[in-house]
Amino acid sequence: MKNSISRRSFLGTTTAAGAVSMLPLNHARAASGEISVWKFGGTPQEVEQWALRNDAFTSANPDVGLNYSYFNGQIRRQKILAGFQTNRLADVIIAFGQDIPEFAGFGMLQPLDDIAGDKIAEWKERIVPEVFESGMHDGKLYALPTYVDMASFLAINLDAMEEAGFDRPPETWSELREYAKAMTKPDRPGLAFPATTAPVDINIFEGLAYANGGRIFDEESGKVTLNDPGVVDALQFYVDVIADGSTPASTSLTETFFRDTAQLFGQGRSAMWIGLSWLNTPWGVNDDVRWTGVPMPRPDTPTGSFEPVNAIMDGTAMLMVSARSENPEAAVEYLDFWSQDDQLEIWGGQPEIARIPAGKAAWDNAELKEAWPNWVKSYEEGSLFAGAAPMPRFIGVSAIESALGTAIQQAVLGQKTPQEALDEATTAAQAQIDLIRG
Amino acid sequence: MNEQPRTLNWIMLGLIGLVISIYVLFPVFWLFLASFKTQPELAQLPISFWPEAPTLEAYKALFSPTHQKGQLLDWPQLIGNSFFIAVSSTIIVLIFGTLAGYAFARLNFPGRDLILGGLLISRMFQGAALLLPTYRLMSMLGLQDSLIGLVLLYSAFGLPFATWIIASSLREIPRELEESAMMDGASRLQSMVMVVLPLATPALITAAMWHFVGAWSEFAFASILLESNEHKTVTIGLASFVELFTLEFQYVGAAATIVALPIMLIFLFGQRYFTRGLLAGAVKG
Amino acid sequence: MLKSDRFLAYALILPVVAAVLAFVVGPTYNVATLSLTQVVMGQERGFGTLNNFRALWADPVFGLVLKNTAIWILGGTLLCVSVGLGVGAYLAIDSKVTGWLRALILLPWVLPDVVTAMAWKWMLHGQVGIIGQTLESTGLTEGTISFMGDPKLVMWMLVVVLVWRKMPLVALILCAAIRAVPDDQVEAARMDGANAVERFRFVTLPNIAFSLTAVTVISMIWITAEFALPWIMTGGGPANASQIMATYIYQQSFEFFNWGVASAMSVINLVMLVSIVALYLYVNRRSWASEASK
Repeated sequence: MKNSISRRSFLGTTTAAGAVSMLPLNHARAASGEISVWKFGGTPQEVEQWALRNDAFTSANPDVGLNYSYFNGQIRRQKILAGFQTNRLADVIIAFGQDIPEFAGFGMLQPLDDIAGDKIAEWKERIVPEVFESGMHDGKLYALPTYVDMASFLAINLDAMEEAGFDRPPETWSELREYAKAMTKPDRPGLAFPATTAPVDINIFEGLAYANGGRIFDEESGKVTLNDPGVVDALQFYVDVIADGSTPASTSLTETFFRDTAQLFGQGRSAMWIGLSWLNTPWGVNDDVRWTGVPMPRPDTPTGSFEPVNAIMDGTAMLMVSARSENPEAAVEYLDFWSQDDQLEIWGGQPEIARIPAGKAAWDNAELKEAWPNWVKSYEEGSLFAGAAPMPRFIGVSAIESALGTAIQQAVLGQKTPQEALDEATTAAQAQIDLIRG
Repeated sequence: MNEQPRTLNWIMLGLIGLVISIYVLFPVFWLFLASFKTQPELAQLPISFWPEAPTLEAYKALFSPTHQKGQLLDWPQLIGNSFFIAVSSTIIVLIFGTLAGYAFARLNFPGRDLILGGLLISRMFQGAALLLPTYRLMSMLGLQDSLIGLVLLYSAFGLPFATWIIASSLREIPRELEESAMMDGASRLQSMVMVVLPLATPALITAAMWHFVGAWSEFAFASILLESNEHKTVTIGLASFVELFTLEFQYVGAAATIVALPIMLIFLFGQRYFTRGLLAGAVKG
Repeated sequence: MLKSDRFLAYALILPVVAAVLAFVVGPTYNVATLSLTQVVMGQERGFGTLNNFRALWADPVFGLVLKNTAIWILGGTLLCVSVGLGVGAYLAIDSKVTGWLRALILLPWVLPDVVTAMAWKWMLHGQVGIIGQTLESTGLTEGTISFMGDPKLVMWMLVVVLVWRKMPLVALILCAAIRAVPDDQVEAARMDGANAVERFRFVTLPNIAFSLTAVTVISMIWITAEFALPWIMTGGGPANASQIMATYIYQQSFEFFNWGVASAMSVINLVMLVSIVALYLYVNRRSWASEASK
């Protein structure tokens, strides 16, 4: 493992040297010893940058031996679980915000309040408060976020919109239905949304359900709330646009996940699509397709029993320190390194433009403004995060999201009505979650 | 007199061959074609069948150090690791499988059939459920993130089947040959090595190829047990092209071509023995 | 002599038995105990409960999983063997084409699962896949078909891919067996005026009967262990229409962290399959076990 670091340093010398010179030179009391770091998946830019910045970290902290391992994103939970069960969890694990309650509840993580001390105040200064909040759980800080994704957003092909006689994006669900219908052509559906079993596809739907005052679980009562009217009516919206004939065939929706949906939109194969905040950035759009991204239209009147939210968000590269870390000082030093503006600026539109950056400084980047003028404007007005909530996170979240995924597919395919599908999902998920929680 | 039916027969047979070839070979061919395309061409619709401007970029990129997206997945090294794991575990499987196969085929001992049957059935004890306990075991032995660990694990997975194939084929070899060698003063082991093994070559080659392919293409255990980049294997490298945000089929195609090539060469060379060995192992009658 | 034989025999099989006990039986035993353990919040709480099995019994998805698994294993095995028999019979014909095909046919088998699953998923996709586009442009279908998104098709498409992957080896084994059928028997049948179909039915088939049953079991064992293919291609969807034991076990243990139930399911899976195969091995003990029983 030692080897990999020196080889990496060797190959990345030039870049590392460049990165070092940008570092603040105030490392008075340097941590020392070995730490291991596990990173799972990420966009290509992020994965590349992460490894390069690690070289900068080792140069700045010569006494810390960094064992950095990168894994396929798909094996995140099984790898962390296996490491936990054998007392071989890395000191720092980089995982999803949605993982926090489970990892903390199982005793895998230690609260950063206990080990990071005064550093937390500095992190707070550098990180957007709402995003910083996404690392909190039960009143304690468990993770340092580097960016978040928000759900849900709508990508619109402007030519198709204008051709259908509209001069502004839709703002309500009924408007969206009307737009989708008007923008549908024989070979080009008006609206596409992904509905496979992929967790991101389920997150996209959750964005709609939360906006409608729905929740999937009530932490207070321990009850699964998948059949709350807020969730049922959001699913009814999916079913309605399909019934309108404004979407691709329903069997196509259940096999086409977000990446393929984005690709089809980028090629002018659908006039609109519902996605997360990155919409089409990682995959690009054909030059002749004029498009914009807007927040997902709102329900006309929210019907759920909970507070409607504007968006839900979560980070997928949040740094956590394992409960069994034998070198928390060095681990915190690593987190502190990633809280620096130089690192957080990776997500400031250059080189990575697909995420909503956590660092305040990153929001000043010209590249971000160019890529996401609407986002930056609303950030500056202080409205971007207004009314945003974290994505569902609690012990057993995957079991409920999986039951929800099944219900979405059943309704989309017309096997069951949204109410039936979600009633059954509620019962099934409740049994699962009672088992997991004991 | 039956000139016409014969031509008709050949046309029929040719057609069947075509259908089989398309079903079996097209997916492989499609990946191979993808390796010569560019990312925009792969994403474009309608799909272009032949590469519009064939390029070797994907192959070049795989072997250039700048490509590896910061993960420094070094393809020559991945291939080297997989080769090491597959070759070493194949050797282990051959040695111990032959010893055990000989015992099952030639010696009488209580519980023989029961043990052989048990070994065969143990082949079914695999899959997702065993990932965690196996990880626990390997980590107890200090063998996680170790190529040696995978060699031992794959050997244990491969041994029962290899033992079975070898035992079946040894049984077909007349005892008399061996007995006459022993009459001439050779020990049991000497006669086994000098007389029996050469006759069992097809079965040994079959067992070897069978195990080699399995070890070469295993993913689940490798992906969870290996941590450092310089220990990773080709399947992990292949899976790294299929992340949530990226799917670059030109690299998948290029890497798959490179991964399949050595095995195909071995097969072209050993195909004759391979089928003969299978015949001895699984064919009676 | 006999006694030393016995010691020699045990010494010779010791490494294999030890390896299998340590790396296969050990972890399996672990799973078995876990299936009787209550797992709460990731911690093992209390051994000696049937709660995990009860939970499975109550789980509405489990029935669907059993049905899909039956299609997967029985349908897969049946198709693997019957298609393999057809292809094997074809490959047994002497000609240049079949000679080449005999070598090339192994290609699906040598590519890692991860790759084949991705490639097929891509090719079968209704909107970006080459298969749908070809069917549409040649006029065979009206519009493209979403093979993996249609709950009525998905399980069978998985079986098609499974057969693609596992059939070549079956075909080669059967091809070898067919070629080993004594020529004089075939010739005698021809003299008696049997046509090709009759010759195959009355001469070839009885001769390769053992190989047929052998590949049946081998295929079944393979298909049981196969996990990456369905998991990568569908993840059990749509609406659990392709959820099988292997994928559901994976989902329960690594997505839900519910490994008590996952272990219970593994135990059920194992008991069912082992009893089928053990029965088979018992019935056919003459052919695989001691030569003394010949």
